[in-house]
Amino acid sequence: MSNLIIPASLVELLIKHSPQLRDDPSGITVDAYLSDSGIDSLELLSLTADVEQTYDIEIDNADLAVSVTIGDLVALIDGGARSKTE
Amino acid sequence: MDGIKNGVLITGAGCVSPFGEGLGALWRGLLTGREAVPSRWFDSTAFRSCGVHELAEPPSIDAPISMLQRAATQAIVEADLSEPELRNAGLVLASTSAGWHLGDDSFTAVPGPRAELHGLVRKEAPAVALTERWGLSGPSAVISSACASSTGALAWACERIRAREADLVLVAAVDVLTEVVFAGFHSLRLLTEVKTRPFAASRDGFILAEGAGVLVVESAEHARRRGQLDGAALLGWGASSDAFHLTTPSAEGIGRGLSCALADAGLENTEIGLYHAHGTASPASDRAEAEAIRKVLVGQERRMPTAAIKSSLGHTEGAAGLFAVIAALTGLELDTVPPILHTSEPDPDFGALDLVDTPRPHPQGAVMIHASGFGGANCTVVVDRTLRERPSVPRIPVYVTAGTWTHEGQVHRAGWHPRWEAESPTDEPRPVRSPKPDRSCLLLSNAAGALLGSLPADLRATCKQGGLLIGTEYGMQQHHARMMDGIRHRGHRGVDPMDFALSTFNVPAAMVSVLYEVTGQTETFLGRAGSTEALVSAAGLIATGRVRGMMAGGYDAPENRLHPVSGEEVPAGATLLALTTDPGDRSKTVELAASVRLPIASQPTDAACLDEALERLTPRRPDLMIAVGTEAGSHSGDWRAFMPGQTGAATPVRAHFEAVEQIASGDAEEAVVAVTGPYSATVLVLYRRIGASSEDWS
Repeated sequence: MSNLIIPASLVELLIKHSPQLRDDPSGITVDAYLSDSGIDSLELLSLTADVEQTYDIEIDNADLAVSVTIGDLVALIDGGARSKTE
Repeated sequence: MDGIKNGVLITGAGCVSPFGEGLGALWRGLLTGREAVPSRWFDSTAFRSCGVHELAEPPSIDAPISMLQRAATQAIVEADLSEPELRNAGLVLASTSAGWHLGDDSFTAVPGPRAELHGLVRKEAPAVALTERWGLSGPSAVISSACASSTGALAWACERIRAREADLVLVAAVDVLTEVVFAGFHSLRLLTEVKTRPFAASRDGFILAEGAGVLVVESAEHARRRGQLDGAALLGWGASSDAFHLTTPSAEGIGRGLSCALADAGLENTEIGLYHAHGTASPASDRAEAEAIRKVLVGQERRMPTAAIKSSLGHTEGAAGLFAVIAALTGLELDTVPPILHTSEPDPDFGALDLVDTPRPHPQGAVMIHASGFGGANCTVVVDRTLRERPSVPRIPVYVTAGTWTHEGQVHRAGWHPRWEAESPTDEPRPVRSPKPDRSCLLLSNAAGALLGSLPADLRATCKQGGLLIGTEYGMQQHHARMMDGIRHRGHRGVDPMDFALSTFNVPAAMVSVLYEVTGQTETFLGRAGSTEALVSAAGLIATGRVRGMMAGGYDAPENRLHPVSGEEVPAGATLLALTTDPGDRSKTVELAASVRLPIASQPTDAACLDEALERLTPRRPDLMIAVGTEAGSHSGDWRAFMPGQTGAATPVRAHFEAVEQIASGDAEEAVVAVTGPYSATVLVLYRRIGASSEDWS
């Protein structure tokens, strides 16, 4: 996880979807749990829709179901980006 | 069935489904299932989904009406009813999506729908069409409480017959496939990419479907009089609100609905032989439902035989409950339980359920059918082969205890109970994370918080347990318009799930239930008279001893009226009344004494018809006669027009306030409020000073 870099555009989305992270951006780390960051299951779906739009990727349900940290989202974005360039 | 005079029978059924026309086609389809296909209503291929279950016929602008008319014809034929026998029948329609099948015409404010589509954009249009076609003159209502709408409609019909307001009620449900709803479920990741697999370990959502169903519901006495001896018994119903979250179901909330249905049917849980599940195959929903079944229905000795027809039919949204009832009735008749398809690997956590995965002989005992909807609305019904004796309950007087209304950002209160407190703090809401309440939710929540805060603690608890019935004319359609805009501009991923979570018309009532722990029934009625229907329905439930108090009223806001009409204003507002059995000190006590429901129509009821209805309500003309929504908006005869030019379902409740206030202040002994409107039923309510007359509720 520690090698992952959180893109600035994802930081913006996280702040948009979490007043808690907006108030304390230091909580935006790859190891931070989404559920501890003020992002409940419905908010995660809304965030995911924005992520799909922003990065033009499809995140399937199985991958989303095991995404519990901000780092997991970064990995999905990286994976999606890779698959588009392959 | 001799000797059981207050029983309710289901004597006819009809349906139009993706499997074809009629009950036979539906039953064959339930045994075999079908492959999902791309939608012909819109391009569904870009979405994460395996497709839809559509009717064989091509989409058309009058599809909801056409489907319902055919289903109604089947049901009427099966019930062996002649057209003259239908004249006094009532009608209740359940729908969530009718009117949105017109694509951009449904959502474009300017220039608005083409002229020929004006009526068709309204969810009430199929109810008007059925009423006109069959000449129905009995009570009517349109319910839109998400996917629990049609079991709620059956419950409404049951109450009309038990109260002897009607001998016969057509219970109709229709939903058609619409791009906006499909994209909404997609945004919440509730659409399967494989199969609908209820209660399976691998379940991943449902296939969206369309269809229409109609039941003929009839008093046992009426059926016997006309020689109709066939029919299943509608033993009872129960409803609850999760009071938990708008889109995450709660086992506790579902369980309350199941328990309430058992109590109303007069049954022990061991007397339920088969459970027809809501079973959407969503991971969270099935888990909550299975847990509720385990807690309420399963004893030490057995697992609960469970069917789930969405595995073959898919999810027909607001019609889903009625389709499950039709499947249950057909199964009873054929002595067969329809199988759950695609459930080879049941979720190991659901050991309390005996999942029926191949057709098997029908077990003995009654059948329970459950439906849940967004917002945490639950409604469960119980049917059986034969009626059971049901004790008759003396009517209990219903009093108007207090009320609140919003106006330009302020909440105003009124109360007519000695322990009511005008200055008491608003009831403290629980925190809510997502979705955040929109304006309509806030209006209703503010009204509810102030109302609950002003009530004494015992009546506050009574109303929370009793529930909240609401009316709306325009619903939450701004969210659908935004969803449609997102689809048009950003494609299949353009829908914000938050918009969909806020979009069903019952969301404001659901939001109140979450914020203030209102655990009783929440139901949402459509039309300008929808809020008055809510009041009258609440009064009926209290009068029959089902609950001891309820909140009822309406909400509307201009942003949800997608097709403005010049000269008509929609004030943003919410209005609520608390009705209870507590007369207080009786000095200012006003009784909600009686009501009359007139059928739904495309035009408002005129003063002459209101006069005729008034004669059914009371032998003498009340001191105060208020009419809301009549044509021209001026005084007509003895009727005083109330707030002419203002539409929506919140304003009419202010007329009820005025009636109550004038009686409480001694300016009138009796008052009647009549509410009507275009594409609305008409409801008249009689209020009187306590002890002014001994005439019973009718």
